[in-house]
Amino acid sequence: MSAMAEAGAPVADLDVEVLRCERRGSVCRLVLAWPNAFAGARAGQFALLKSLRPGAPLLPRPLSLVPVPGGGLAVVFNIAGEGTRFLAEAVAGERLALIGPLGNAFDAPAEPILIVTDAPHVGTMLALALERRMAGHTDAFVYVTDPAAPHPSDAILLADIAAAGLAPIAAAPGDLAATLAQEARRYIAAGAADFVMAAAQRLAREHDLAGEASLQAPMACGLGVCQVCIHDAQAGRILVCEGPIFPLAVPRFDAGRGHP
Amino acid sequence: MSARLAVEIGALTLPSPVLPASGTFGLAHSRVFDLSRLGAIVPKTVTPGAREGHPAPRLVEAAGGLINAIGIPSVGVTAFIADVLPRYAGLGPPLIVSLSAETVDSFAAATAELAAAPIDGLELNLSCPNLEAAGDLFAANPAATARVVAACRAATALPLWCKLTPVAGAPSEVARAAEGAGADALILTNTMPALALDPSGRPRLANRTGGLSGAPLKPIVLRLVDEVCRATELPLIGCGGVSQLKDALDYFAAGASAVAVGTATLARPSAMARLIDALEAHLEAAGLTAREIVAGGALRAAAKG
Ligand SMILES: Cc1cc2nc3c(=O)[nH]c(=O)nc-3n(C[C@H](O)[C@H](O)[C@H](O)COP(=O)(O)OP(=O)(O)OC[C@H]3O[C@@H](n4cnc5c(N)ncnc54)[C@H](O)[C@@H]3O)c2cc1C
Ligand SMILES: Cc1cc2nc3c(=O)[nH]c(=O)nc-3n(C[C@H](O)[C@H](O)[C@H](O)COP(=O)(O)O)c2cc1C
Ligand code: FES
Repeated sequence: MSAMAEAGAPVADLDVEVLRCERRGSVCRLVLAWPNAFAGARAGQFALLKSLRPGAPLLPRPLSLVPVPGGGLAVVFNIAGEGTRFLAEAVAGERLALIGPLGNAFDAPAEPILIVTDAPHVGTMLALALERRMAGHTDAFVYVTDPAAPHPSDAILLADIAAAGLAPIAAAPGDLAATLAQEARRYIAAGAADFVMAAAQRLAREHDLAGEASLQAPMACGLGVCQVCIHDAQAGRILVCEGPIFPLAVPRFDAGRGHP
Repeated sequence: MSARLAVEIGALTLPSPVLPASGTFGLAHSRVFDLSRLGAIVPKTVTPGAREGHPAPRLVEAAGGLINAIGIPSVGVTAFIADVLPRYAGLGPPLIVSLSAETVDSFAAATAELAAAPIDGLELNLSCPNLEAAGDLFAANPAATARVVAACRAATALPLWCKLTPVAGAPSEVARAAEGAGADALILTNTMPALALDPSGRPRLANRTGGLSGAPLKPIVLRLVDEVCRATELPLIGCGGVSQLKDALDYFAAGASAVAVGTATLARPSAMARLIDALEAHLEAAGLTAREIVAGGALRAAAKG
């Protein structure tokens, strides 16, 4: 096998045009002139994106590829810091550095599944929910939000998710275990704060459910080379960019982390 | 690959004077560009035994560059030879393995083990702590540099490239020590020790401190190349903040025969391919070869002395 075949599918590294940049509050949705390499991209996969404006951070930022009903792709992201702020300031016609597609896709079964997320992880999980809905599946979509300290994007994201016909179930951290137990399906796909992920793992263990975890970590290369994006696993460490979708039981989460 | 780009580093002919800086490059870059265009193939540093590396966060952006404290996670030399090295076979450019160790003896033993493997050369990462000298970097000290290079030289006839640190008090003496002990080339340099704090004054890296790389390192390393090329006959590889054509040309003018690219590859994985394209176009427009540009720089550097 050639080194190329062994290393994986081709990855584009190009400057691409912004077609639309829609910003509402702390949420931004970008549609780009995606190159052909992205044609078969699936939920779970991501791109690295970087503003080419002077003063923008050096490293590109990982953002999940979200299918657009009717065709095409977008990225949907929270403005978290400098990198996403520069990206959200893009205007139509501006060029951004785009690297991808990277990472693996979810591998959920056709039966209804339980999708669990929160604001910082919504891009990846929204991609899965939309991809599955476009394929005719009806899933439960639990969105974790703390009424006492909501994420600035919660209201906008919940409204968008509802408008997309995904009927989100808003769960407060205190009600999380009960909500998850009530919505338990044969399969769980979760991407959220550590305490939510630990609860999803517990549910899976108790009910003998299979599932997948979508992980996030600050990245540099996105290619498994620099070893920046480590995450604790049950045994040793894993590189998030070698996922970012892993079997639910593989990563180790700190059940106290992120809990209000 | 155009013959216009080829350069010599000691006995090795590199297809181009642009090669990866260890730790920022891997086989996965073949998904982005044709690796046969590189001057050499340089995987992540390997250590004699397996190591986990530092906890996260391992990397932050700072001062227009990066500060990293990855901690050289490694599978260890034996597993590297068995499991990793075969995947790097047959890519075309010389395969140079970067090696780091904590004592002279473990450097020499790992060199001997690697010498039996199908590789074209060794890069001795001498900018790592020497446990026999209270953790001082090997390359901070001419005597320690001479000892470790001589021990590795005795273990192999392969080309030995020594990667130095920007914090050596007497860089020319370190360079001469490496040359006297049998080094074939010098890489200037590894990262610069650095610290980044968050707004509340806490370190941003789990390891507290790390190594600064990228644009802010370039003027520092350029000066070192300028100094060291007058102190030694060894070919020099400039490594620090190379991103654009101008950076490479600056290093050649200062006396380097090739450049290694790290941070720029993390910012854009095609950075080395873009740089090779730009260099090739520049050489073509000027009617020159890379050998001529590099020789010109070396001559000017000699004249400075
Ligand atoms: C595979 C993957 C897919 C992602 N998809 C989406 C998405 O679709 N939508 C979305 O809103 N966000 C997504 N993220 C998170 C997004 O990448 C970060 O929010 C972004 O990189 C922050 O960059 P910044 O410069 O704006 O903020 P920074 O100032 O760099 O960071 C702000 C805060 O976010 C943390 N952070 C930084 N980088 C990351 C990161 N890569 N992952 C998680 N936390 C980080 C920092 O530690 C800090 O606390 C994804 C992350 C990964 C790894
Ligand atoms: C994330 C990262 C990992 C690195 N790992 C190594 C390594 O394993 N071995 C080594 O010799 N240098 C390592 N370096 C240093 C680079 O090889 C290079 O010497 C340094 O970054 C300066 O070059 P640059 O400015 O082009 O990045 C690393 C640098 C970075 C940014
Ligand atoms: S981001 Fe470089 S290894 Fe994951």
